[in-house]
Amino acid sequence: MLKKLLILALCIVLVVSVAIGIVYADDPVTPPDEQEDVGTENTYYTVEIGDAVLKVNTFNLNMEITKGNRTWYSGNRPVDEEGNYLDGMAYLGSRVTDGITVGYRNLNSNNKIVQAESITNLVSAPGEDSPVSKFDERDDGFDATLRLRSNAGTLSFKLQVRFDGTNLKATVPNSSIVEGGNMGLEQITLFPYFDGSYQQTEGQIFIPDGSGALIDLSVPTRARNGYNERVYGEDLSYVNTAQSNNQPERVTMPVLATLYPDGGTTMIATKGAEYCRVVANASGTNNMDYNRACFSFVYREEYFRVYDDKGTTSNYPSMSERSEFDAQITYTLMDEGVNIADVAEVYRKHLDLKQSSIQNVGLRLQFLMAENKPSMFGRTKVTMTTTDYLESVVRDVNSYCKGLTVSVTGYQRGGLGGSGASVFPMAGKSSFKSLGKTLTTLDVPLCFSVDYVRIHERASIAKGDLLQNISEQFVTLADTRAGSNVTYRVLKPSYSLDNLLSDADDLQDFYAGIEASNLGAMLFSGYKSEVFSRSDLIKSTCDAIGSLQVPIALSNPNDYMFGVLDSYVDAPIEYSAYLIETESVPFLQMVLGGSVPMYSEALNLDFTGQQLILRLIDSNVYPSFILTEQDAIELYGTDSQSIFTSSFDVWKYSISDTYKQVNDVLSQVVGEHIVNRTQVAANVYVNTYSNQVKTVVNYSSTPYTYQGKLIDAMTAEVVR
Amino acid sequence: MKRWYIVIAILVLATVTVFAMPSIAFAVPYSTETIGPESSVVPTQTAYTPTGKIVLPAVTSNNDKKGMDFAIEEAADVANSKVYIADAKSACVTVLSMTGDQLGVIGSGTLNTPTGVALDDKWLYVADSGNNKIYIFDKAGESQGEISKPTNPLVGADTPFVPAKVTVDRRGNLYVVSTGCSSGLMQLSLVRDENGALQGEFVGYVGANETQATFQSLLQDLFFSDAQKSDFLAVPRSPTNVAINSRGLIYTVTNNSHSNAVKKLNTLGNAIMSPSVNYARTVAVSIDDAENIFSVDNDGYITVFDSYGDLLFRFGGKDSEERLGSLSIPAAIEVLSDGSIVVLDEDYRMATVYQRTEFAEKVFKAVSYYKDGLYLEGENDWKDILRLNSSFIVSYKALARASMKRGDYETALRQFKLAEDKDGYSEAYWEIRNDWLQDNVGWIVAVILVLVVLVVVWKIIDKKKPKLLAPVKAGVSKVTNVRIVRELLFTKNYFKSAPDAVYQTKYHEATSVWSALILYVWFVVLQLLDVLVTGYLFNSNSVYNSNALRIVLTSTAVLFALVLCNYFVSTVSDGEGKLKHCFISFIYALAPYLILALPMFVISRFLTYNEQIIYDLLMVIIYGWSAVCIFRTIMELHDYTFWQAVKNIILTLFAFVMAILFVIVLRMLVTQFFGYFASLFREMFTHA
Repeated sequence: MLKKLLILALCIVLVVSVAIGIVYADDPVTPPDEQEDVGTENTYYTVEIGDAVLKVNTFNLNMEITKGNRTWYSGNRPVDEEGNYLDGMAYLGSRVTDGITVGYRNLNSNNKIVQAESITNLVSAPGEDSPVSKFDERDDGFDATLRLRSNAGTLSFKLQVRFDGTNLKATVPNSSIVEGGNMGLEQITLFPYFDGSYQQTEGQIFIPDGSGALIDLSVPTRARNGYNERVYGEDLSYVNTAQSNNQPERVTMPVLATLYPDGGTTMIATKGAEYCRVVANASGTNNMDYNRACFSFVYREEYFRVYDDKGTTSNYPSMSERSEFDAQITYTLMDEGVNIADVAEVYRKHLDLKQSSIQNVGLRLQFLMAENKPSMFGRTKVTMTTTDYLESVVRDVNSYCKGLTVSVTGYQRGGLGGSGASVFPMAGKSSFKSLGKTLTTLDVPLCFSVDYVRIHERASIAKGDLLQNISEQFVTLADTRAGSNVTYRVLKPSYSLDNLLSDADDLQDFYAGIEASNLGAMLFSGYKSEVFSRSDLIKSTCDAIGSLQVPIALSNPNDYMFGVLDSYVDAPIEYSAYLIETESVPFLQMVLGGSVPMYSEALNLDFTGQQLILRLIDSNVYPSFILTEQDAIELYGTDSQSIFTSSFDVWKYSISDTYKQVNDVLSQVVGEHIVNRTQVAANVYVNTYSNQVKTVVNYSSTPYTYQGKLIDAMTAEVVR
Repeated sequence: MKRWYIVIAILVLATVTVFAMPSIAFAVPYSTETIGPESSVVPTQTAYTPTGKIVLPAVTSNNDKKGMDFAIEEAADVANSKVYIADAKSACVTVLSMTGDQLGVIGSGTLNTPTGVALDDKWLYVADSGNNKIYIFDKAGESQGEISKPTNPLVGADTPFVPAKVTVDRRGNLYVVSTGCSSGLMQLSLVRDENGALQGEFVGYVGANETQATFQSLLQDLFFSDAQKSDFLAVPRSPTNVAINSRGLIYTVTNNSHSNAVKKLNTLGNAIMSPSVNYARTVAVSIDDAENIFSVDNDGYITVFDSYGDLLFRFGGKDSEERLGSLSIPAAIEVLSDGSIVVLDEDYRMATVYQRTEFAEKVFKAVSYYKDGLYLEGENDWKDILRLNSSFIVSYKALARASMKRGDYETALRQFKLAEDKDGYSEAYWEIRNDWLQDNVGWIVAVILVLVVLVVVWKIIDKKKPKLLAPVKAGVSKVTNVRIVRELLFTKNYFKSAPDAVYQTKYHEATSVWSALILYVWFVVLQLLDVLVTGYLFNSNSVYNSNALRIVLTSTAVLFALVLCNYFVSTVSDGEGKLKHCFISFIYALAPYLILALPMFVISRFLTYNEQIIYDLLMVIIYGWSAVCIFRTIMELHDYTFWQAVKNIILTLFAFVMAILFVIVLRMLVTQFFGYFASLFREMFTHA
């Protein structure tokens, strides 16, 4: 019996060995190209530019930049006197010190797990062979060609680094990427630990969460996970049904920063931002003791795929085709004493912003004209505001507010719920024409609010104009706020942009502009019938909006729209409040302040009182209110029942009081932007504007004296 | 000596895990909800904002013990309060300040699995479900005694004593949640033994849950013998948490209870109140001085009820994204005297502090006025609340009471309607109707007199000078002789004597399909009028949720299905009726409803709940009369005996149910059929 078992075991071993042999014999790995001698682990190339010195390890592309008294490391793993790593984290391997981490997958395997490896592990003999097959020295940096291999195949690409003494640009040209065998490129993370630090330390990391957030590195975090968000939001073509409420703030700016007492770095994804993720860790998160911030470029995405109508059979495969784009990060080295306003200034210069046209402190009143609700006999229109009433309100408010702007919604025939993604058909065209004319004489801009991206599922539209995801399902967005149960479809960009251009033409007679929701904010790609990438959508949207002859306001748009919009509405003044974050900062406002008027979301739906008003002043954001003539109880049963308070009669006083408080302070800094921000005491912040005027905001419950001026509790003042 | 090193090491570790509590916060990762019109959940202004966190020191132990609880010893300044956190994983009670500074550790080395903790002026009580004991410490952490399983005969030998949670009243009585104890909470009084150590003396059980009747248990009751039933003896769930209010009244929590997960007990231990909305997954509750109830559930939601159990706010929710204010595994909740809420999360190992907003302050102030019956005093506050949320239904209720007190019944009526308080609406309407009647009694009497006089005069003329009325009568006669009118008027014959009328229908063509069709249409119209005309107090339908097309299709389908079922059943059970006669007689038999329903709808608009018994009685008569007419019609139509008719009706109803099931199954099959091919093609194209 024992003998038989032994024979059986031998047979099994033999079969397995043969099978392994066959597998490896079929291994599609192509032999590496002829490799230059790029040196050993300790070979460096050094470039001196002005007072800065760039030193790069040609073996693993680790960099050190010395400028003045500070050294920036692309990845620094502290060692003790005997050369042992202090972090004691063997699993990190060379990820900290290697210049690049690559995520890949075997395209021919059912195993969809993405392997993330540092480049020195993706060679024939890890630790001995260099992943750099060619290293070209340049006066302003270097070009490195990487040749990586795994069981799945090979991968090669080029890294170009250019340094001018302050800015370092790292680029992976799309044209240089070559996949061999079945090795599919999923992600590239350039210098994942650039200017990172070890354990708790004095310093902060800036992440572009909402208006902006800081991670204080000197306090331990209770968060278990780092920050990891897709720039410009997840792609609707890849995710399952998305919800539109209580979601974390979207990343609209591809910018990160590390801020230490002796200097820091601003990192901007200058190319390929639409394909990257923002990653940040504080010591203690993701089981590691490092603080770091980086961009990770995603070349292939997992997407939601269903096999039946109800989605009961589904999985998350990875894309077979690689997204094609150039990936580039610009690192700007910042000197001692750097603060968040300096980061904003660097980023501001990177953007192509319009010249300031702001004359007065703004106030935005959005009027809901009509809705509809189910009744026994179909749907009944509910008129919430008449144009005559709107005009009387404007005259009233305009008497004390010179920066008033008005937008209207629900003006379509049948009211707001179920209306199409267009300004037309409009109910009472002539009255709106007359309104536009009257408001023009009062110097009050009028905008028609439209959602050009989403359309109510009840709206009548050809299926061919709806966006389908990679699984060829119609993309849906559910608004599941309490009391709401509205589902939206997403429109194809060609349909949306045609509507936009057509509306803009027709609106010229109305003396009015357009206020577009979701346009320039929701970014996605298309597969069915209309194939386009995220980059294509950015280009077509920018082109369309740039060609408009009427003013355009956009709701919380991504940064690629900052140069073409006339005003920014629904501006976030907060962050997502992740446990890893320690402070919210008005970074977005620092960037756009003085260039584009920014208006808050409707305050009356989350009116937390004086604290909210102070936050507006602190952020340099102008107030907004959504209003109606009728009491909001009339909206019960409509799709807008989440607007639970809106009557102008009840908000009249709060509007004037809010505007007065905001105007008293911000009128001193109209057209200016924040150049410095400091916390002078617990809950007391001072913003210095480009005209050197300072605003002091005292959120605390006790008065505070700043430069001899008493700032009462819960108030804001201007100090010159 | 080594122990000191350990304590110092823990303190040092804790010192570096101190977290400053920011006092300003704006980001709120949740929306707040309240009860709106038609008992729907609607959004409202933010009531609480997360403003800080109190973080427990990290634990190095990898044990998988679960359970956590906390008690807060409030100082005059809430910021100086102390937080006592019982934590099974670290097997001790950690004392923290409100900013997270560690102030001490209690019970380390003694406690095994501390999952519950309570405080009074002197002592700290810790429920240890690992050692099956309750430990008593002073505030400095010195042991003052321990309580083991009571030896009282009322506590049976098989009764488990696994203390999971504990609370204490002002007289020093302990109420213990013992896992698996279905008799309720164990009440223990404190006594000292001969050595001066504190011990617990069993007083009794309070707050036992009742067994819940399920469909399965009903079937078992119906069909099983007593012996079989004993095998399925339903045991009431044991409470899972406990809280006490300032008046010493106990609140129990029974997690996963589908009715009354939270119960307020009176001094006798009987349940006297449960919140209006039952959240089955409630984990813990806390009661403030105004007896408002604050609960947290497994889904991460924090719910606030007023002392009557009406829902005020609900916010929070689970969030896997680790955002301040969202919860993962909530374990306990406490409300502080400044109104802030502290919720302990076992997964995050930290407590989150939520501060009241100005809106919530207003609501609590107004609720306190309402509770004290000071309706007018709270009126402005309620108006302020409505300014911030027009859908805040509780406001309308309070404002309506204030309007009633002022004698402004018209306003009260409108507000009661918005508040959907039908009792209040009835009261206001009674007052309005009373005033109207008093103001108009003169001409009402006059109109009645005129009508009486007109009738008398008509009769006199008809008797003495019939020729004068002849043209009128001829005109009426001409109209009633039109065939369709005559057939419609034949309805009154069914009204009087259904068998005779059926006979006339069967054998003398007294009615026709056309007249029946008109009556079917009238029946459907009556369904619509029921929604539109019936008075608010007696109308169970909502115009918002009623759809005319659905009403028309449903009532038509039901009527025709019943007629068809009755016909088919009668054909196989010796019934004589033809389909045509079934069709006609069925609707004619509803004559009492067809004739009297509309007047009743109209009358209901003038009635209050004081006259409800009259209305209900009349409606019962109408429905009963119609039922009798149908029964007698079936007897006559099919020439059945009484029992044959009963059998026919039962079989008709059974066939009707089967027809509905058939339609549902058919629909499912068709959907699946098409779904299958859709999936097949999708898969083919996807893989291709």
